[in-house]
Amino acid sequence: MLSMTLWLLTALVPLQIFLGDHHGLNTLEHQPAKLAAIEARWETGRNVPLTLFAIPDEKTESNRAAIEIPGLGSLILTHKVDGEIKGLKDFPADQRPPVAVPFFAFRIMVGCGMLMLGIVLLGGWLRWRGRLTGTPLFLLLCQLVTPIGFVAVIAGWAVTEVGRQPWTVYGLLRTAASVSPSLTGRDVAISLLAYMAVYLFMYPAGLLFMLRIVRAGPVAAAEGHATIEAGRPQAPVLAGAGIAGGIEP
Amino acid sequence: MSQVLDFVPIWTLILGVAVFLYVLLDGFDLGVGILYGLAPNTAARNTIMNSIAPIWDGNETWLVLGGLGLLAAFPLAFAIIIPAVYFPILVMLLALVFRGVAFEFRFSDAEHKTFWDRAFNYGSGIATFAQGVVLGSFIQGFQVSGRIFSGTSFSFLTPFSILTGIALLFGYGLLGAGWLILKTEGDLQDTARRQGRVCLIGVLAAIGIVSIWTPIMNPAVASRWFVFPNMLFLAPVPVATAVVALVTWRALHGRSEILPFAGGISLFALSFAGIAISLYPMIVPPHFTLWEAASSDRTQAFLLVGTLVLLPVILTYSSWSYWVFRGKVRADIGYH
Repeated sequence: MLSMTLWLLTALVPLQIFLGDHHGLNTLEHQPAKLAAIEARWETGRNVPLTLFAIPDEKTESNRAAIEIPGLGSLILTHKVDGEIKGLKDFPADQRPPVAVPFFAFRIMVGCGMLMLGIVLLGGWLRWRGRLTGTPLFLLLCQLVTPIGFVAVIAGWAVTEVGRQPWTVYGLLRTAASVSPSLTGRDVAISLLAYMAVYLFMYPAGLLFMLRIVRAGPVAAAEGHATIEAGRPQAPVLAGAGIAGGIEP
Repeated sequence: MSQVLDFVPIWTLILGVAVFLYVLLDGFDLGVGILYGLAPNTAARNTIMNSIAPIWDGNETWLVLGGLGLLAAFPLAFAIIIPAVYFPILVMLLALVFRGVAFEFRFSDAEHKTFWDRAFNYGSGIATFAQGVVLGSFIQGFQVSGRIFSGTSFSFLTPFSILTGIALLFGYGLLGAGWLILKTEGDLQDTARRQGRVCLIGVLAAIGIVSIWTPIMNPAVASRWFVFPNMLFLAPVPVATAVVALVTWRALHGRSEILPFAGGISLFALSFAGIAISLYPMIVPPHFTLWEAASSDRTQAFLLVGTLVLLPVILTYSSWSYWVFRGKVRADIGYH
């Protein structure tokens, strides 16, 4: 399973990075304000640096504590050394997205991607040395990074949805104009709280069951599916009981 | 673009079929969920749940098609109706969450069987009631000013919509009982026949009340049904309803395993036809017709291309799963 997953990731992680790069070119063309927010770029310019870290300040329209690599920004974003990147100051203040959320969420997403790439490379090297399954530290690392796929997806979602503000239909319909007139703030609060309550209950419950299945180990699971009758898998009732350690009414 | 083809009737048909199939298909498995609460023991509960486990999630495909079809093909209707029934839809979705995960969690979590049993039972019932409330609100019509819904998020709550909510519990219960008669044997089948009879009485009472209440509430509906010569052309609907009700009642007492289910489906078809006759051509009663609420021809044409490719695919895999899992179910053999 580990070997199969790593092979799959060896193909998918570089592909995802390639697609992400092209998605960036697309954003540059169609939603330049989002790109400027992602990069926390205030001034339009050519040969712009790549900002690794900064604290964007919307009031002073500048970044604090910025760590930058000169010239790399234009190269990555436009694929040209002197490519032009539009800065946020080129957009009217009421047509700019919030800066901090896309900026940090994008770095979390890309960070997860780089971490995945690192694990793929490390796994490939260990495989080459014939030590893929014999390195406990690597296996522990794989266990620990289990959630980063979700983290990357949710961070990317935040980038794209916050970065597109203040538009629902880009350049045509503002988010504030697309709210249902009959919905009050109280209605939205009630429904949001209801969703949160249900999800806060469901996700831990699901996690608990998954952990229980993991703890029971692969042997019990295999036994659970042993009986096949009349061409159909065994009853889930019994299979589930097998996994849960034989607790049945 | 010159008008070569009017897409509105095509989309009306697609949407009508999607909604009707959803009501029938998820209707019977929600109904099974409602009756599940009355099952006497774990073995019966296992059989009942196994009877719908392989197919229930496929049935909900039609809800997605219906909802998105309304959004894409009749955006004005979507923009008015969905805010008007915001809370019933919310409640329905959350109830479906509980009911849906109960299939998985119940089997993974043997210690807490009773909790997830209740989640499945109440989730099914609450989702059904909420759908009935949506139906009632739709039949009653919406407060509109200009092109927006002008009521509040709680305008849906009326005696009529509560009545249709309760009515749908009996309706889905009848479909669920019909399904269980088809899929089970022995004691369980006898129980389902008894439950089916109770539900049938409830359904007929509801059809009666709604048929009297709606024309009183809405003169346009009254003038459609009770004016000569419409009365003559439309007479087959109530007559057929009476005949089907009688046949279903007898079938529930008799030995036929298919007739009760077929009878339930026919009653739904007749009620659906009745509502369509009452409200046509309104999609936002009593303000906007299908044509007024439709998206542009080009949008509808574009959507039709994808839909016509996908519909046969959905129909094929749905029918295939019903075929694979045909026949009687037992508690100890199943799949989920």
